[in-house]
Amino acid sequence: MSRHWLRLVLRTTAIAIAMAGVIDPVMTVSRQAPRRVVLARLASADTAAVESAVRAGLPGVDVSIRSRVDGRLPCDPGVPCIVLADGSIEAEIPSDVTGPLSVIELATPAGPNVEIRSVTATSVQRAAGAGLVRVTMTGEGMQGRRTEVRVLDGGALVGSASHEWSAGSEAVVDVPWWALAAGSRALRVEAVPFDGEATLIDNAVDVGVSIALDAVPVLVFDTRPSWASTFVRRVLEDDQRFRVEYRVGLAPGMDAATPAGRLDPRSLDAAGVVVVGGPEGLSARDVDLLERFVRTRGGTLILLPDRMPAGPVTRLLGRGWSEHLEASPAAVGSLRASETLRLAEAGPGDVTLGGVNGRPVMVLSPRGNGRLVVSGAMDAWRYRDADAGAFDGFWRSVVLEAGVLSASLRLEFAQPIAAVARPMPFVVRSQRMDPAAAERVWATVTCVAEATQVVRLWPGGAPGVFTGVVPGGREACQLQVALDDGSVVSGGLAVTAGASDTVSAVLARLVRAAHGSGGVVARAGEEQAVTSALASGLDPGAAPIPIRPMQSPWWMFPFVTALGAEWWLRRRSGLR
Amino acid sequence: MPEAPIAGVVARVRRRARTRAALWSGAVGGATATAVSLAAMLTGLAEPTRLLWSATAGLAAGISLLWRGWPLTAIEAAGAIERAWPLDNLLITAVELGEQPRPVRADLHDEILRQAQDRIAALDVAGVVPLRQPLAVMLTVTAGTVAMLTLGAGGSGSSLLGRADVQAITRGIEAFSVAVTPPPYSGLAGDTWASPVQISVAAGSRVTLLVTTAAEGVTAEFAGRPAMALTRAGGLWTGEWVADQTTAVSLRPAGGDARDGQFLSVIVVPDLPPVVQVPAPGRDLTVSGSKGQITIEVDARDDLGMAALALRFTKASGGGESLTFTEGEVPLAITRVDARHWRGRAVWVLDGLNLSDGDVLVYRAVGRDRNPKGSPVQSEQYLVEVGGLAGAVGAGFALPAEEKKYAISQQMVIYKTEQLIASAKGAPAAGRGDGWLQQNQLLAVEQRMVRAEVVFLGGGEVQDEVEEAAHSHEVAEGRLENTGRAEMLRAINFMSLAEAQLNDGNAGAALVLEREALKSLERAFDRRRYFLRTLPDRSRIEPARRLSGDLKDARSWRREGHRPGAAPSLDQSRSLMRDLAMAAGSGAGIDAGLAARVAALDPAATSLQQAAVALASAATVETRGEAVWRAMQAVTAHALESLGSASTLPLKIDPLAGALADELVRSARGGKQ
Repeated sequence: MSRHWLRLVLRTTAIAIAMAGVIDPVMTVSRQAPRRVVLARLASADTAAVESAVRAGLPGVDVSIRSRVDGRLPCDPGVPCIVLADGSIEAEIPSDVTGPLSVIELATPAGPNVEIRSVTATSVQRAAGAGLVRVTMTGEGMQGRRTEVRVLDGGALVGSASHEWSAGSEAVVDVPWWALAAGSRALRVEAVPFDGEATLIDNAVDVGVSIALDAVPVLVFDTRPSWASTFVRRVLEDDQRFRVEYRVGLAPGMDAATPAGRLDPRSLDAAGVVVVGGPEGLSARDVDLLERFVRTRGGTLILLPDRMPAGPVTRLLGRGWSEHLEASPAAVGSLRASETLRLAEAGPGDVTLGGVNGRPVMVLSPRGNGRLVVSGAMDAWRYRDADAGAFDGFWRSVVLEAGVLSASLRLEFAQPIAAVARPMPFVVRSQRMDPAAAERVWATVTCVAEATQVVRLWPGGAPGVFTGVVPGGREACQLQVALDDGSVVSGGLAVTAGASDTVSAVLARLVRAAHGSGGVVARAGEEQAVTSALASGLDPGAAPIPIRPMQSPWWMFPFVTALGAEWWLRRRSGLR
Repeated sequence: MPEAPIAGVVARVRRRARTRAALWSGAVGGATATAVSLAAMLTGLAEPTRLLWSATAGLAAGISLLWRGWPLTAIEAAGAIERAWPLDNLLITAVELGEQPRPVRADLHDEILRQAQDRIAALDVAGVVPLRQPLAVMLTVTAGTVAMLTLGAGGSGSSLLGRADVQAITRGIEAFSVAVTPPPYSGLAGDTWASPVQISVAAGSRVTLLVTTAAEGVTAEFAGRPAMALTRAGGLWTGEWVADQTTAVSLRPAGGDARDGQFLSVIVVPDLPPVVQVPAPGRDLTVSGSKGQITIEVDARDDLGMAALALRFTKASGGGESLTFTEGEVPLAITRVDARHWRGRAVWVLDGLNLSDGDVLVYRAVGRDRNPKGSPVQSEQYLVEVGGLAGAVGAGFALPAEEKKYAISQQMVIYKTEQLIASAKGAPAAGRGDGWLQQNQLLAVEQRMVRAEVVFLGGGEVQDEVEEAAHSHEVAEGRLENTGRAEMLRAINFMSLAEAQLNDGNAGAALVLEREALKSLERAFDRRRYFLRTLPDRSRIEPARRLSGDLKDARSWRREGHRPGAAPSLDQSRSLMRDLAMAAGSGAGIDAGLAARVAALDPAATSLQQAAVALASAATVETRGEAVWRAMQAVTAHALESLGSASTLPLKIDPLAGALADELVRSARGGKQ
C-alpha cells in the first residue's frame, strides 16, 4: 500500500473513532443478569457479624447494605430483600417491594429487662381533665424490683406511676397525666432504665394525643323529674369538660330549663350527646327526632329509664329487655344497682358496658352514624356514695368518649402520630340533622416555621365524608377544615423522630410482611436459613443488557495511534 | 583613684543610678504583684493565698531587677556620664587611669585629669541620671498595687469576674437572716437563723427579715399575700409580718432578677386547742337520794400551755314540758403538773343542790389554753341521775325509755345467727346449698330492719355512716366531742357490714359484726346522752293544705347553666412546668425565683414546699437536676388533683359499625321472612 493510501486509512480510522464517540451508539446484548440482594439495616445494635454471615452465605451475589431512607425500607422492586431488625427502627414498607422480604431478628442481650409491649391513650383529650395512658410491660428477671413509668411532654414530666414486680412477668400500669398546652402533642412513655438492664431499645415509645380546649356539648332532656338523670346531670355540670343544657318537664306546659335546652333540630345539631330521663314520656315526634339525631346526625343518645319502658321509645330500645328487682345491689360493671333492666341477648356490634349474671344491663349499640346507650342500672344513683366515685367516673367517661365520636364536624387522622417527613392521610366527617345537598369544604395546614398551605380534599364515598393527605414535615402541623356554614374544626398531628410503636409491634409488622411476601424469618445466628432459601431463587437468567462500546476510554489509544502514525507518514513525505 | 572632683561626680552618679534601679525595681515589683493579684481574683482564689502569691511575685521581680541594676562600677558610671554629656572620652580615660593604673607619662596623666575636671565642672548630675520619671512611675504603680490589694480585702474568695458581673448587672443579696418572735402567750423563746431555706414557726409569731445588699431596695414577695417592700434601717433592709399561714417568700433586690433573690419557706404550726377529759368517774351515774358526794377527776393538756380549767354543771329539774335548768360550777382543785398539763379534782357534794327525785345533773369540764383568740373547749358530758325514776327521763331532751328494745332486737339477731350456725355445724360449707343462703338472707333482712329503726332513732339516714364515723374526730378539733353519736354510728356501720355478710351466706363473719354492733349500741344508749346534732322532727303532710294553690302562679323556670370555673392555679402550673422542663434541659434558671414559683402554687401543699426548698438549696449540677425532677413530680401531682378524672372507658367504635349493625339486623329480619 502506498504511503498516500496508508495515510488515508489512518486518518479515516481516527475520524471514524471520533465520530463514533460523538454518536455513542447503544447495543443490546443478552447476558446473565447480576445476582443482587439488598440488606436493610433497621437495628440500633451492631450488625457487622450478621452482615458478614449473610455475605458468606451468598457467594457471588452482590449484597447491597443500606439504611432506612426517608422512613422507608430501602428495598428495590423485584430484588430479594433481607431486613436486619431489632424493632428499634420503624420503616414503612413500600408497596412496590415485590421480591421476597426476609427478616433476621437480632437477639436482645440476656439479663434483666423491661419491655414496653403496648401503650394505649385516648387520641382526643380535654385540657380541663386528666388523661390516662395504659402501659403493658413485660419484665424478665425483675422480681422484687420496681419500675417507674413516666409520661413526658417535651422534657416536662406530666405523669408517672410505679410498679413493683412480683412473680408474674407482665404488668399493666395506668399512668394519669395532664396536658400542658392545647393542640397535638407527642408524649414519650418510658420505663425508666435501671443499672444493668439488658437493652434500652424497648423502654420508650411515643404516642400522639390531641388536646382540645372546647367542652363536650350535652343536652339533658327529662320528660319528668328523674333521679337517675338528675344525678348524671349533676356529675356532668360539675366538670369543666362538659357544657350542659337541660330541660325538665314539670307539668303540662311547664318546665325548668336553660335557655338552649330544647329538643329541636337546631339544638340537636349543636349537642353531641343527649341524655334522656323518663324516656317513657317521649312522644312519637320526640322519638323520631332522636332517632334522626342518632342515625343521621351521628350523635350519642343515652336513655336512663327508671322503670320498664313503654310507649314510643320502645321502638328505639328494641325487644328483649326485662325488669329485675333485687333486695340488695349487685355489681353492674363499675356501678351497683338493685333495680335493673336486663337484655336477653346483645345485638350485632353491641358493646356491653355492664352486666349481671351474664346478661347485658348497660349496652352501647351502634346505629347508623351514631350510637344508642341504654342504662339498665335504674337505681345506680342510690349507691353512688358508696362506690368510691365510680358512678361519677363512669358517666363522665361515657359522655367524654361519646362526645369525641359525636362531634358534628370531625377530623380523624389514620394515626395520631407520624414519623418525620411521612405524609399522613386524614378523614373529615360532616354530620347534621338535615344533611345539605351540597357542601363546600376546604382545608389548610400550617406547620411550624412554614407558610400555610391548602390541602386538597376528595369525596370519601359517603355523604359528608372527605379525605385528604397532610404532607410530611419535620414539626407538628395544625390542620383546619371549614364548611360553608361556618363550622370549623382543627386538629393536629404530632410528629416524632423517635419510635412511634413498640419493639414487638415493629417486629410483628415486619414478620407479617415477610410471611406475606414468601420470605423467611430467622434469628441472628440462623442466617443460613435465610441465605439458603434465597440462594435457590437467585437465578435471574439471561437478560438483555444495553451497552455503549464507545464509552470505553481504551478507544483513545487507537485514536491517538492512528492520528500520530498519519502525522509521521506525512512528515516522512515532506508534507506539513 | 581619680582626683576628688572626678571621684565625687562619679560617686554621685553611681548613687543616683542605684536609686533609679531601686525605683524601677519597686515599680516592676509592684506591677507584678498587681498583675498576680488580678489573676488571683479572676480565678477566685482565697484572699490569704492571693496576697501571698502577689507579694512573692512582686518581691521576686523587684529583687531580680535590682540585683541586675545595683552593681555600677566607676567606669560604667563614667560611661553613663559620657553618654549623657559627651566629654570626648576624657572622663572615661581619667577614671580608667584611676581604676586600672597603667604606665602613662605623668604630664599626660595630669593633663587628662585637668581637662576632665574642667569639663565636668558644669556637669548636671541630675541630667545624667534623671530620677523624676522612675519616681513617678514607682509612685503610680505603688498606688495601684495598694488599691488592688485592698480591693479584694474582705472578699470571701468569690470570683472577681462573677462578682463584677453581678455588680455590673444586678446587685444581689449578700446575706440575710430571719428573726422569729413567737407570740408572748406561747412561752416559746425566739430564735434567729442565718440564710435559712425553711423555718417552722408557731402561728402568730412575728417574723423579721434582715437583709444585707448593695441594691437600692428589697422586696419580699409572698405566696398568697401582697408583696412587702423592706425598709432601710442601720445599714440593713428589714421587714416583718405576723405568720398566720404557711407561705413562701422570695426576696428580690431592686434591679435584680430571679437569680439574685433568696428563697424562704415559712411553715406555720397552728396552735392546737386543748384536750379536756374526765377520766373519773368517766361514766354516767345514778344516785338514789338527793344527798351524797361524787369524786370527779379532770385531765387537761395543751401543746403550748393551759390557762383555765373549770367543772360546770347543769341541773335539769321537773318533767314533761315544765323543765327548769340551773347552771353552776363545781369547785375544782387544780394541780399543775406543768404548764401544758393540768389535773383537777373535785369532791362534789350534792347536798346543797336541792335535788329531788327525777332530777338530772349534766356536768362537763371546760378548759382554755393561753391563746387569747382561742375558744374554750369542753369535755364529754356525763349525767348524774337522781332518784328511783332515773331510768325514765322525760321526752324532749332524753331518749325514750324503750331504748333497750333496740339492743334486745339486736340481741335477737345475734341469737338467731348463733342458732343458724349451730344447726349447720359439721356440714361443709360447699354442701350447705341454697337453703343455707336463704336463711342467711332472711337474717340479713331482720338485721336490716333493726338497723333502720336505729337510723330512724338517730334522726334519719346519714350520707355515709362509715364516713361519718371515720370523721368524728373533726368535731373533736376544739369544740364538742359527742362519742354517743359516734357509738351509734359505729353500731349502724357494724349492722350494715353484718347484713352484707349475711347476704353472702357468711353467718360466722356476720356474728362477729353483730356482736360488735350490740356493744356499740349498749355504749351509746347506756349513757343516755343528748344527741345534740340530730333531733328527730318530722314534718307531717297536712292534707287540708294540698291542692289549695293558685295555678295562675305556676311558671316555668329558666336559669343559666352551671359553668364550673377553671382551677385558678392550672395556668400557672402549666407555665411553671414549661420553665421547669427548660431548666431540666439547660441546667439554667434553677434559682430562688423558680423555687418561689413552685411554692406559690399552693403554700399549704407539703410536697410543693419541699420541692421548693430542694430547688433553693441545690448547689451542685447533680442536686439541681434532681431538684428539678422532684419539682416536676410535685407540680404534676398537684395539678392532677385539681383536674377532672381521666376517662377509664375507652370506646373504640368504628364509624361504620352502625351501618354494619343495621345491615345485619336487616339481613336477619329478611332471612326470617
